[in-house]
Formats: sequence, C-alpha cells, structure tokens
Amino acid sequence: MKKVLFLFLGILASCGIPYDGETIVTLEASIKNASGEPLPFQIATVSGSADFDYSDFGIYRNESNALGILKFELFSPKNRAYLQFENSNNFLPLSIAFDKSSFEMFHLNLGVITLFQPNEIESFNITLNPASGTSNLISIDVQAIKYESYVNLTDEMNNANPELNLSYTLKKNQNFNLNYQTQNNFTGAISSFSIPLTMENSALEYTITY
Amino acid sequence: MKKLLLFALLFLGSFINGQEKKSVIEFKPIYRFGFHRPVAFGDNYFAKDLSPAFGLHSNLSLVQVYKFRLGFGYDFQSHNVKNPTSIGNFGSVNFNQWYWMLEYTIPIDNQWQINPNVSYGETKVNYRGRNSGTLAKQSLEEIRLGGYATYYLNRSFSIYGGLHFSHFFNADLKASPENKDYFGSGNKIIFTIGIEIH
Repeated sequence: MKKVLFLFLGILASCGIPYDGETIVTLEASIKNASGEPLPFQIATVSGSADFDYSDFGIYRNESNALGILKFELFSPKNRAYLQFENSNNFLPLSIAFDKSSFEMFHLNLGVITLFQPNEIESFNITLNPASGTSNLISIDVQAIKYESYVNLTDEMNNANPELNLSYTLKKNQNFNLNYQTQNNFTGAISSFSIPLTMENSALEYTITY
Repeated sequence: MKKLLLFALLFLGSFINGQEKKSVIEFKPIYRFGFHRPVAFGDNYFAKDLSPAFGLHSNLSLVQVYKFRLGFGYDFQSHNVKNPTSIGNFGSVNFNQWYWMLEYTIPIDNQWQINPNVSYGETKVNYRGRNSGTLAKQSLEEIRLGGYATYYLNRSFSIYGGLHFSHFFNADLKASPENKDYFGSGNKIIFTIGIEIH
C-alpha cells in the first residue's frame, strides 16, 4: 500500500508545473574558449527538472551574442533547473544546476564560462601523505582554470559538507596555485600553504605531506 | 467567484421582485457571443513578443436598472510566441478572462442602440509547452473602457460591434524593475463582433 501511495505521489510530483509564472529571473554568463576569447553563437538550453516531455526541452534555448554574452530571461524554476550547452565544435559537455536560491535580486551572473575541447585539458591529481600524525588536512583549493562537466549551484550544494577533492581537470599550459590548510590535532592551530605549480601538456601529480 | 455570482443573482432577484412597484427595473436578459481581436501596443511583452490572435468573447446581463446593466463575461484567446528568446519559446500563451461589466443603454432609434461600459476582471495566463501541458501560470488584473453598438434584427436577435480600451497589470509579479515594466503590464484595443440574444 505504501509503495502504491509513494508511486501516486511521485506521479503527482512529476505532473507539477515546473516554472513560477509570477517570478521572472535573469541568467547571464560570458562564454569564452580556453584562450580566453569570447565564443559567439554557442547554443545553450535551460530546462526544469519537471518538464513534461523531452520534446519541450527547447522552451528556453538561446545563443551567445557576438561578444560571447549569453542571457536568459526566464520564469523562475520551481525546483532544480539545468543550464546545458549543445554539443558543437567538439566542446566538452557542461551542465550547471541552479534553483531559486541561486538568484540574488532576480539575477544570477555566472561570470566566465570556459568551454574546452578535449585536447585542451589534462588531469591533476593530489596524493595525501599524513607523515607527521599530528595534523589533519582541512581544506584544499586549486586556483586554476578548471573544467567541470557538472556544477551545482543549488541550495543543497551550499549546505553540503565540502569533501576534499583530490582529482581535477585543468587547462593545459597554465600556472596555478594549490592552496591548502592543515590543523594541528593538539593545539588546534591552522597553517596555510600556497604552492605554485605549472600544468604543462601532460597529467600532473602532487603529494601533500603533512 | 461562485459566491459572488450567487450574490449578484440574489441581489438582482430582489430587484425583480420589486418590479411591480418600480417600473425602472426590467428583467431583460442579454447574452452576447462573438469574436474579438485584441491588439496590444506599447513597449511590453504582450505587444512585442506575442502574435496578435482572434478569440472568443461572451457576456451576460439579466436586468436593466435605470438603463444600467450589471453583467459578467468570459473571453478567451490563444497567442503564438513571436520572439522565442524573450521569456520562453512556448507552444502557446492562453488568456482566460473573467470580468464584471457595468454598462449604460442609450437607444438611438428603434433599431440602433449604444452601450458604453466599464469592466473589471481577472485574466489567467497559461504558458503551455509545445507537446505538454501548462509550464507556467500567471494572473493579471484588467480594466476595460469602451462600448458596443447594437443593431436589432428582430425582437430576439441583434448584431453588435464593440471597441474597448484595456489596461492590464500584474500586481504580484516579482522581477527586476525593468522586467516588471516590460512583463508586468500593457494596454490593448479590443475589437469585437457578434450576435446578441435578448
């Protein structure tokens, strides 16, 4: 009986109206290639998670202008929605999840979105070496031009406990900084480190010893 | 809405009961049914990004009091999206309008009559997908000023033409100031034609 009830509730939820017609929001981004040049005429779509039919995928479909600026005026999604780029010119897929909470004053500026081709990126992996036994690694921040196929800007992501990410995909041929913090188990003192690194044409590995 | 309608009918019924004493109150039901063509204008979404459309127009009033009539009506029209990049490439944008109308009767001669009127109502706007149901809903308030010119064919039937100015707005729209201006209000001229049953 419970299963039937959950199935019924699930069907009801999927039949919901995906957009709030009484709220209009603006989504904006600057689309660039790996060299930092504006990418005009890149087609992107926004779709609500409760769209009735895949053939309605193009309700929100727009392309970047001559300066690479992509702009959507849209009814605010009631649940999670996705900005996705149509696969063109061999650029790698990219999806950005957002919801009502992602907007401030009805506006969400995603800044620069870099579209990469497969030959423009390489992997960067971090290995942990807790040699001292007296400290914990508490944060890692890779300040580089990165490729992420999925970016989550929803409330759910903001409230989640960040896990230490040890694998990245970075643009080739760039200098970047690896920042990390350790905390002494006995004193609670936090130490910050910034390591300048260079990503060349092949995969890169770095070991953090603490 | 149903309660309002019931109240209006009871209210009018109480007048009709007193008809023997007051001859100014007459039970003269009028039902108009026809087509309308709203033409939105100005710098707003409804004028610039939706294609004009024909729709259905109807209203009903039951009694005449000192040549005044209180009636209610329903209009419908379905628009296509002209600019798909504006607020969405919807399959259709449907307007369902319910309104109350106060009109005055000015007889010209035995066959012609003019009915200036004012109306106020609510418009439910449904933004529909191309292959699915409603994807977004909106409510507008609408004020109309205008009138009908009626030509009597016989005791039971007339033909009428109407011309109205309409201002509509969405007081509940949440958006940036510029989007509130663009998407939240508009004006239109409404042409109507149809038959009137007495």
